[in-house]
Amino acid sequence: MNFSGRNDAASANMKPIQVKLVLLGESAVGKSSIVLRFVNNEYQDNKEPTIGAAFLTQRCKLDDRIIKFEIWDTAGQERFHSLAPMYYRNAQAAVIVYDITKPASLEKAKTWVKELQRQANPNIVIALVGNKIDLANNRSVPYEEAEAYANENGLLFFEASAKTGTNIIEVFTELAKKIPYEQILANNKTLNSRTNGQGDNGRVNLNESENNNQDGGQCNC
Amino acid sequence: MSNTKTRPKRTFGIKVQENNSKFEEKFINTNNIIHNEVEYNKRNSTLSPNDNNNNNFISFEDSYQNSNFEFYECPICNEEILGLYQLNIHLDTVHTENKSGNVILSLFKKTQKITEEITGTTKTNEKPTQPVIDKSHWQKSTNDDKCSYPECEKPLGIRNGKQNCYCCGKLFCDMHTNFSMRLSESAKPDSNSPFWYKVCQSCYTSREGYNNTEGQRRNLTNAFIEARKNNIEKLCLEENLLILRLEKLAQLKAEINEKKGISINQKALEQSIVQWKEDASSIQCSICRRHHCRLCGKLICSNCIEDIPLFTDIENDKTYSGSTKSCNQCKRIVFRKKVMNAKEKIPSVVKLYEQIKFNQSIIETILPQYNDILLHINSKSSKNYPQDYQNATKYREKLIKNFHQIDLLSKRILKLPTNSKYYRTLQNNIAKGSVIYLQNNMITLKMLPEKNDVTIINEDIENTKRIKEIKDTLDVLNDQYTLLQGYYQDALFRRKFDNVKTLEESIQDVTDEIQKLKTELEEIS
Repeated sequence: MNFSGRNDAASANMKPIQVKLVLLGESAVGKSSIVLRFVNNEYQDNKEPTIGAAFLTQRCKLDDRIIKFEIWDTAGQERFHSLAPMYYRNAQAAVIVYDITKPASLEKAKTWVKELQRQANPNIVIALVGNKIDLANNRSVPYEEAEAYANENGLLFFEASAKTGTNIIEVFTELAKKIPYEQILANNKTLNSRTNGQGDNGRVNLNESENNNQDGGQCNC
Repeated sequence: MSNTKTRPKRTFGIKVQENNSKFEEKFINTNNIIHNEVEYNKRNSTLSPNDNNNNNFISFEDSYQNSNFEFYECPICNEEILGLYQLNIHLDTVHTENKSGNVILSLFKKTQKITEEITGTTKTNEKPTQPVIDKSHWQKSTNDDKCSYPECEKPLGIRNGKQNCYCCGKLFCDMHTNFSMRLSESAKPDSNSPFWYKVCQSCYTSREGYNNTEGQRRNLTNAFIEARKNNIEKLCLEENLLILRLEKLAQLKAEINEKKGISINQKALEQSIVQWKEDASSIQCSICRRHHCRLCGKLICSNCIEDIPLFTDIENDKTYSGSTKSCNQCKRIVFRKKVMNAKEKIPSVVKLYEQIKFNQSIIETILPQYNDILLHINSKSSKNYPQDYQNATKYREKLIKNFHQIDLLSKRILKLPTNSKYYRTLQNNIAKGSVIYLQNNMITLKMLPEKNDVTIINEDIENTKRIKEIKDTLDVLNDQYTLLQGYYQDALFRRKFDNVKTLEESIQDVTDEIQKLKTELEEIS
């Protein structure tokens, strides 16, 4: 995956493909930290809990395509559970996070998987991520167990660390590779032609060029 | 002569009252007083016991004219002395104050009493004179006194008052002598003294029993026992007498039973044990019939007469020989001990049966309540459906438990070991009775509403739950809405228009969701 495609003339003309991605998982497993690492390459200790669902974006270049991740980082606390469906309903990708030091968080992750399989878009690409491998000394969820579960359910599986940055990019790269772009593009086209008409194209282009300038060079990985 | 003898005593009284001190001074003046006194008595005609006769009185007055040579009786030693002057000398020489202070004091009181008796009502308004308390220990007053109460030390005078404590004799301010205590004549605390004196705070608080919050105690148990003994003895005597009679009667009855067929004058035999009162001795009630109590022989109306069992040995139930009539008073007395003993050893069948009764009483209070609630639930008029349903379940459980208890108890009664035929019948009947009770009440116990009714209730519960859920979700959504608005404004500001579009969609989603939930909420409530 190439994140430096911004200044590329070819890609500048290309319309980025919007991929809606949702992060799910128990509270305090590190969802927001993963996003923060991915988007800003930063890490904060003792991050305050997320409220509602935070919205972040990140552009990446994969092969010849520019992908724009629209990331909905949902709150893990139970009272925000009711928000989640709104965000995973139209999502093309989901990252379900658990904490390798807390077996209960894996159980919660499994319930999320089930919920997505039942209620989300059937083409959704799901990645199961065991976070906090920097705390591998306190590991209580074996790699093999989680991997076996992921394979069984057709999920991408990673163990990562938002603190050290290990495997974070890989998660998103692999997700990006798996996404069925043709379908998305087809959907978008039909949507655009049906609802928005011609005027939109010009505007979108303009916006995009501006956006490109402003967002400049954030993603250097 | 008796008059003349008492008269000088009276003069003493008056004299004493006037001066409250020595009586030898100016004794001649007393003549006037005597005269006035006599006049007074004449007017009021309230005479001392000795002065009943008015004629005597007048004759005294006559004799008084020549009274110089009258005999007087010394009030102390009762010696007869000629003339007042002689008496005066006698008192001075024989009964000097030093030797007989107390005697004279008692004499004062005596004379005082008599004068009061004579003058009657005029003196009753006066308080009983307090005996003169010994003041020898009193602190002498000077111009520069201070209150003796520790840490008070106020200068004593007009402003703060100046007062000797009657008990300790020291000088105190008014505030610290504002206490009263009973004192003896020797100025010692004495709870039996009838007189109250001003005392200081320290004397008051240090007196015996000041901190005694229980008050004075006297043990009256012995007095009570003594008083009770008489009654008890009487009662025991009566009781024993009646028991004896009862046993005799029982014996008689037993003999009669043996000699069946032979005509015996039973009444005559009964009367040999206790004398019956004459029929005419009591006024006849025209309504009820009269009987003789076989134990006391008195005439008793039919309302107060009862059949009592006869035992040749009152303590042994097996010696039952028949029954006879007795008044309920005698019955109570004669069976007093028997009843008391019976209370002590209740047979187990009775205990078990009482428990059954207890369980039945519980059922009888709960059952109507349960049926009421059931009625509410079935008619769906209940305001608080889940609550009522819960209560009904609770009551039902309690009822079933009590029914079960009754069943168990009746079975236990049935299993009690016995040789007696009657006892067996009793057991069987109790068991039958409880079975019938259970059939009547438990079998007809109405069931709780069927399942579909329950689902209604569950829906109701779910509705309230759902309302809460929706409200919570709405809170979350509203928060999210404001959050998204923030993102939206930020995206606009940064001119990230593709994000703006996504956010717009998201905001639309949230508002749709809020709208949806709001309509649902309205539908439910």
